[in-house]
Amino acid sequence: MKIDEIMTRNVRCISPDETLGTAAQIMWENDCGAVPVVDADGRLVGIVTDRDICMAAQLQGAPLHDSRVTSAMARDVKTCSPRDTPVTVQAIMQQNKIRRVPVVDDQGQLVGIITLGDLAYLVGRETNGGDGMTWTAIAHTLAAVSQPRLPRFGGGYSDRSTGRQNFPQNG
Amino acid sequence: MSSSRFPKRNSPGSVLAELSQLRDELRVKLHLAGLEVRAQWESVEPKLLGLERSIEQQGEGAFEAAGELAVELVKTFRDFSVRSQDGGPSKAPVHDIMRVRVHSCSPTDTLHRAAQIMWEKDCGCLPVIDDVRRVRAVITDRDICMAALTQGVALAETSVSSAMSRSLSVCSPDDPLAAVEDLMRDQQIRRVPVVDANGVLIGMISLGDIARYLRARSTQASASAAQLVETLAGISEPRARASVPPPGL
Repeated sequence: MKIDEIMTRNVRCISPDETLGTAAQIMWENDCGAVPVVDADGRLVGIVTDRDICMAAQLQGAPLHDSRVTSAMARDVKTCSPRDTPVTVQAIMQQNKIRRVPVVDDQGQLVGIITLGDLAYLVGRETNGGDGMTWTAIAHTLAAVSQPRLPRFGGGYSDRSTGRQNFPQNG
Repeated sequence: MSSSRFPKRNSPGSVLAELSQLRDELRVKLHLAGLEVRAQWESVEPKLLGLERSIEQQGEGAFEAAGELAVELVKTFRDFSVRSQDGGPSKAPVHDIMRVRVHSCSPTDTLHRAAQIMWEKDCGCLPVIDDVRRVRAVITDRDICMAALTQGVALAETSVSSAMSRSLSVCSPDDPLAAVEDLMRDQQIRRVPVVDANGVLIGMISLGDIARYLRARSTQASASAAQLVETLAGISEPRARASVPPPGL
């Protein structure tokens, strides 16, 4: 089985120059927690989550419609190919402690997104355990993803030099 | 069992005899028990032997230690009886798994403050408690994100009470794991406050906590892992689409 058989297609995405208000509205309308960020050519350049928006609103102290997506998105995004197997993607999630992976083609164009919930659903549906994935593997991935960690180096909220998670008091 | 918990009026000899008898009983029963109970036993047994020796040598001076040891034995017995019934961790009580160092906020805090706590403590969900620590609601980073969208103001200008959940699901420390997973699946939530009989906050339990608990016990957990994955799939299922846009749009 390949990822393009189970991924979500036609993902709502956003341009880096749009506002966080638009991103939050997309999340509301689609009941999702992450929106991929693509440039004018449809190439993936980042991803923004509801948590990123929450933290950007805190940091910047401004209404969401006054902040750009580029100020809050994560740029270092782990991706997979539509031809990858579920087991490969599950390993990517476990190693990087992420629960969502954008799917991009060879040209870097966004073609879909796959979540840990999708993989869990697959394992639950398939009587043979979801193409080589086991219950236990998914459970272990969930354990890794949920492990507390330093916040992602997304919108520049972290102090890399000390490695501590200093909360910026002023934007 | 109850007579040995605080054996202050017993003679050293009778305590010694009772402890020896209990130890032998446990040793026999533990052949049937799960790995984790056996591991627990291995940590208790040397102390038991040490205690027997000190009672023999010192007589009454060892009573205090005997009390502590008896409490440990009670715990071992309890865990043993709970878990040996079904052989799996799904009946383990919430208090074995929950986190007790929980950060919280008040309904009158600003969203700015709540987001700051979430940032500093690297968490995405805070219980909202009143001045006697009773849980009123929970608030998540997503709630704050959506409040920022709908209210259109800076976070410092709006309060936790304007954004916190309107329904509340909680569990008791004595609930079995399986019941909490059912609750998470039904309500599509991954984090549940743990409260005492008066509704006072005593901990939090998340789907991730359960996953880590199972990972530590992977030898006997494959059926429980299946249940966990089902829960995750259920939580991740898209909710019935909100038919109206958020207020203010």
